[in-house]
Amino acid sequence: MHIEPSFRKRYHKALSDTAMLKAVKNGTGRLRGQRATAIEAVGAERWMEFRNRAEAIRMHVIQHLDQYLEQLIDNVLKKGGHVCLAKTGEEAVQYISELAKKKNAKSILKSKSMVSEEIHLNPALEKQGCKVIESDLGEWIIQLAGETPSHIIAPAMHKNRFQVADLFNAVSDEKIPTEIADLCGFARKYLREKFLGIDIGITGCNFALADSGAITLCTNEGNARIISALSPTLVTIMGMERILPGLEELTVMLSLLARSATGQKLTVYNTLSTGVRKAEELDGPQEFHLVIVDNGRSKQLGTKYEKILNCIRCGSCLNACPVYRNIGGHAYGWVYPGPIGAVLSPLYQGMDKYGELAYATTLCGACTFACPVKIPLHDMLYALRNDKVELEKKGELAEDIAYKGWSATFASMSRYRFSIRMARRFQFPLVKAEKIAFGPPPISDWLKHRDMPALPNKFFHEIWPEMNKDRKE
Amino acid sequence: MKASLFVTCIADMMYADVGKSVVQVLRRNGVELDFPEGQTCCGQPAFSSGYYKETAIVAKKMIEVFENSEKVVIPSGSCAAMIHHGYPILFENDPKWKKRAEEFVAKTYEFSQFIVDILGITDVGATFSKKVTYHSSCHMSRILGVEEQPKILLKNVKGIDFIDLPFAYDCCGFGGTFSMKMADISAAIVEEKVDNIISTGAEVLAGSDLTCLMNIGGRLSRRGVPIKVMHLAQVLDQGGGKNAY
Ligand code: SF4
Repeated sequence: MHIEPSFRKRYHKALSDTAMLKAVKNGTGRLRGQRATAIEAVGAERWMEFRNRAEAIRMHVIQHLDQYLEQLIDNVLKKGGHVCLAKTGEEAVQYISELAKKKNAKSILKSKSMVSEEIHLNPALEKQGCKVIESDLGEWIIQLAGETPSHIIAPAMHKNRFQVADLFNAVSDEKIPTEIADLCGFARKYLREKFLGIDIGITGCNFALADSGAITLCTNEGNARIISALSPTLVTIMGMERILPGLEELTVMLSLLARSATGQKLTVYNTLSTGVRKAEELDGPQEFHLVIVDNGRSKQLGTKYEKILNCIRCGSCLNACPVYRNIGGHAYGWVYPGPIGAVLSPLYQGMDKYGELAYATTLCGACTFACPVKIPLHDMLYALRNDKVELEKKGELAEDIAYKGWSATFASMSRYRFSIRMARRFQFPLVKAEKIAFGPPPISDWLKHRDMPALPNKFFHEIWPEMNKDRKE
Repeated sequence: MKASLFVTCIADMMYADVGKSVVQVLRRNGVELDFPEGQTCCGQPAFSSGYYKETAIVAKKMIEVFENSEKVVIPSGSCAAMIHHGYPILFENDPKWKKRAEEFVAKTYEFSQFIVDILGITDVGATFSKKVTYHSSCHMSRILGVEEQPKILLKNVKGIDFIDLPFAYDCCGFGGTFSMKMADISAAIVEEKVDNIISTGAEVLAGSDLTCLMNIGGRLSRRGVPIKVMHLAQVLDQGGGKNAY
């Protein structure tokens, strides 16, 4: 999918796509409601305790990441697995591509991995002749559409059932009805056939447990666990921060993740799998590769953005975000949309390319309050803006000048009062019935949709003396 | 009780009537108010655009202006939040100013917070026989943590028919310069807010942040919806007896 480099163009395109926006509003509305109900059932106070505990667990892991990574790698190797620690996305892709070549793989089945989107794995594998099929419904839909995910946990949230039926019809001999049940039925039938004869299976990873080397996958469709059971060669890709010490921490995170993401007490399938098939076991891979991807993550350690590594990819911040709800995920331009994306994209991919996303927020704080692991997302967005302006000196020129002028004016009462008197005097060409309905930039866009009150005949500081004069009399 | 009014730049230049109502409501309820010379703006626009250095210049001035005040009252949730949350960030690496900023923070209150928490008053003696709904602005409710106080005050107004706003805590889309920089996204967001407000059947939308009210009111006006937008202080100023000048 071609991604337009300008954020402005991307969101304008989004704003005009009414079908997409309707689907996203429905989808986020549903998830938001389900989450609220789940939290109500737990009770606000206990929910806060949950969040505090989860935050503490995640912070502990991030602060001891090297130690836990070592332990995880040790355990995976001990249980017969292979490990690739990839510094960049390219390294990870190269490792997996070579493995596919070595295995002479024709058919690769995938499930649940945002990291694989991040590193552009599918196109690389397809280029060397592998057929890669996404096995989860949402992922498969967008694969058929040639698109990228638009939501962290519901990648095809932006499509309605009629669009999905069209996509399915293109790969089916019979005509598929547009009812949800029929669509799911078709997908199940079509995909299940593909499970047989897989050469390589690829999954993501919700959490890896350091003390056992186990990989945890949380899904509602169960395809990921079929892949991890049936693939002769299994590859799991994980972001390097997705570690937990062990089962005890996992229980906290699982219930928090499910409630935050979909309002469920637990996701339907929570699979833990460790290493390769043992002699007495009936299923499981003969070969297991864990690909741990850094790709910009370790750069955040020890910085003011470190907490961003606490993220468990639940998607709550997306659903809470008024901007996401009104432009959808693709407008953000990289794999992770919404508030988490607005922080991650500039941090991982560079301020040059994605710095603008720090301004794609009203700073309302809804994301921070939704986040189960208490990442101060909106504070990070402030900090990113400050970095952009002060460290990188990349404020827009007009803005640099405007704020220099602003501070010089507003640091002095007389200059401030003088300037607003001038504004009042010169606003007359714009004023009609005490309102301003059109004007020059930077308010021109604002005035496309709303009126602005005109500056009144008297400012408050001009009324104040009168209020006191009367009082003394 | 003595308190100083920090009227905010928006109230000063665009909504003098709000400042007037603030003064009247507070005076009627026994507050001796002054209006320290030299005050301009809390610094929010520059701060939220990332211009911390420029913000600090103005913030220092405000700290000086209110140095001798016992308490400071601000009729704006987001400006109060700016001082409470933003000033400590601004002066993180400047111990001298950090301390002065913290002293400022400790005595600064948003209007309804001051009335309910400091004055201990929940009924200001207003009468207003209208259907009213209330928009909870983001910075006031989430960042400052002041949620219930304005609603307590409103519900105790004589004759009022208070209706809860669906999704009251959803942002109105203002977001300072966001509403200019990304005006079209902002417009889509305020449209949802306006639809929710209309759905309540209210005659009046009240709020505690003039910029949010300007945004919502601006959209209502453009759509020609006859719902009146009022600051909380203006509602609390209704029918409260003679001017308390
Ligand atoms: S930042 Fe928080 S709310 Fe957003 S996806 Fe990550 S864990 Fe979930």
